[in-house]
Amino acid sequence: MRRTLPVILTLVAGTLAILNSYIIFAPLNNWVPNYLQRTVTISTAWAVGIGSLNLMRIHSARISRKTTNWSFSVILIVAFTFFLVLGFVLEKHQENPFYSMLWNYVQPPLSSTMYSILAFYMASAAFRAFRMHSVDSTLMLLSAFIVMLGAVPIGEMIWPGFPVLQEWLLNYINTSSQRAITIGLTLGAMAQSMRVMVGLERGHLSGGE
Amino acid sequence: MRENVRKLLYMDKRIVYLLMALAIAIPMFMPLGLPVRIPKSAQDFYDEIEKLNERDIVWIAAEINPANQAEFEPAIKAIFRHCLSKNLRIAVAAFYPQGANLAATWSADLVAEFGAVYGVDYINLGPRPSTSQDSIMDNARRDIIDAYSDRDNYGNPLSSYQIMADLQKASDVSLAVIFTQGSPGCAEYIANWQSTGDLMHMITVAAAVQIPVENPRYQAGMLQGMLGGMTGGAAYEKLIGHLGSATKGLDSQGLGHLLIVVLLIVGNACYFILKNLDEKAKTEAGGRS
Repeated sequence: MRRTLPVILTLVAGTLAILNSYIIFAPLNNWVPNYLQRTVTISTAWAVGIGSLNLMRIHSARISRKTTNWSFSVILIVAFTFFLVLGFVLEKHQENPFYSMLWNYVQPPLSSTMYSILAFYMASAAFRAFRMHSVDSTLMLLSAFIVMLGAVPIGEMIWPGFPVLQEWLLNYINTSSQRAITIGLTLGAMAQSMRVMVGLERGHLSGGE
Repeated sequence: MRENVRKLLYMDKRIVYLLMALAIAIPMFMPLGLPVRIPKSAQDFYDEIEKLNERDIVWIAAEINPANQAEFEPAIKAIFRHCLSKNLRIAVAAFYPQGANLAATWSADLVAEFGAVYGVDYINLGPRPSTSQDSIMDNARRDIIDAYSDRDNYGNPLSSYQIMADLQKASDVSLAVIFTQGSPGCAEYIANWQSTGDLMHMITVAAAVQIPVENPRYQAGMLQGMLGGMTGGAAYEKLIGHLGSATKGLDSQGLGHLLIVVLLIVGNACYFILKNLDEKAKTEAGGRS
């Protein structure tokens, strides 16, 4: 029953959601967005809550066992609890200057910095690791040359053909490959969805048959 | 010779970091001022906004996170400038947690400059969890206030704002400008609003890494215009006649790209020289034995 009921629910919900896209039938067309899809929102809220509790449980255990880098777990729990309490305590916390200051001027610069550092790692990796070992890697390297130089004015200054070649690569080689990938992914997703709906795929039900 | 090449190939990586820092920093103090080319996709993007009539509503899907600030901040500013100067109305929404707040922060100066009134000329619907994107977007096809639980980014009732009288459902939007760096992004808007016939006019500001993914949609006409990365932002700044941080940043990006290309060439040259020398040494050693 623990596994059969979720499979039946999945089959019914999935079938109704699919039919809603293809059939004009007022009760169904109202029920799916007004009830079924709202259920997704509510389930998501529960999932976030459970996820947060799980996060606390795992990191509390790390601290109590003093495992490697347990001090980072302390930082996580303190920051998480601090923000959580602020969100509950402050009325209209989005408008509170202190909350906004923390949200807008602490995390974004940290995140931007982390991403910006990639430029340095990419330069280092390009120099040390990107080699023309094979035909494939040579093609990739040449494409990288053209796209990087074609995308910026300095490339056009070096040779006006770079932007033309870059657009050709993007519009013909890339587009045809991307379309093939997109169609393949969509067909795969449809097949996977059908497997989940009819109960052939049961990994989400704690695994096993 | 072998030792010199080996030294060059295995030099301290901090030297590479320093070179990259210089390539990025020098143009900030000594701009190269290279001419910015306007790709067709950027021209189309500009034209789509130009086609709108006064008081039309532009939906900005601010699928932004701080990591893309260099690419997206100039574009947000330029779009607000373009729209407000044409007396268009703007609605900002996001499925990325920080998208709505970042858009509000980056556009604050423009809103003040044009004297735009919140709730009349623009509104911020705030972030909603990306896991509920499909249900929210589907609901917004019929009732935006209900889909957003009658709350804006600041917790106030959406229904109390004047702009919402003309923004009741997705089809009331004249144009969607979708910032994208992955999912949620254009694919979700196309699936939920365009394929249903509610909103056909969509343009995108794509992070550089997302250009290859969005370009097929632009070519197919699903997206009628596209700004790609900082280059697209600079082209758009040129089109609206107000140069900003994308134009300034393009010199740094250009030198950064050039440095990576030079490093690739030098790295591969060193690798092949070393390989040849090693093979030659092996052959000679084999001959002696």
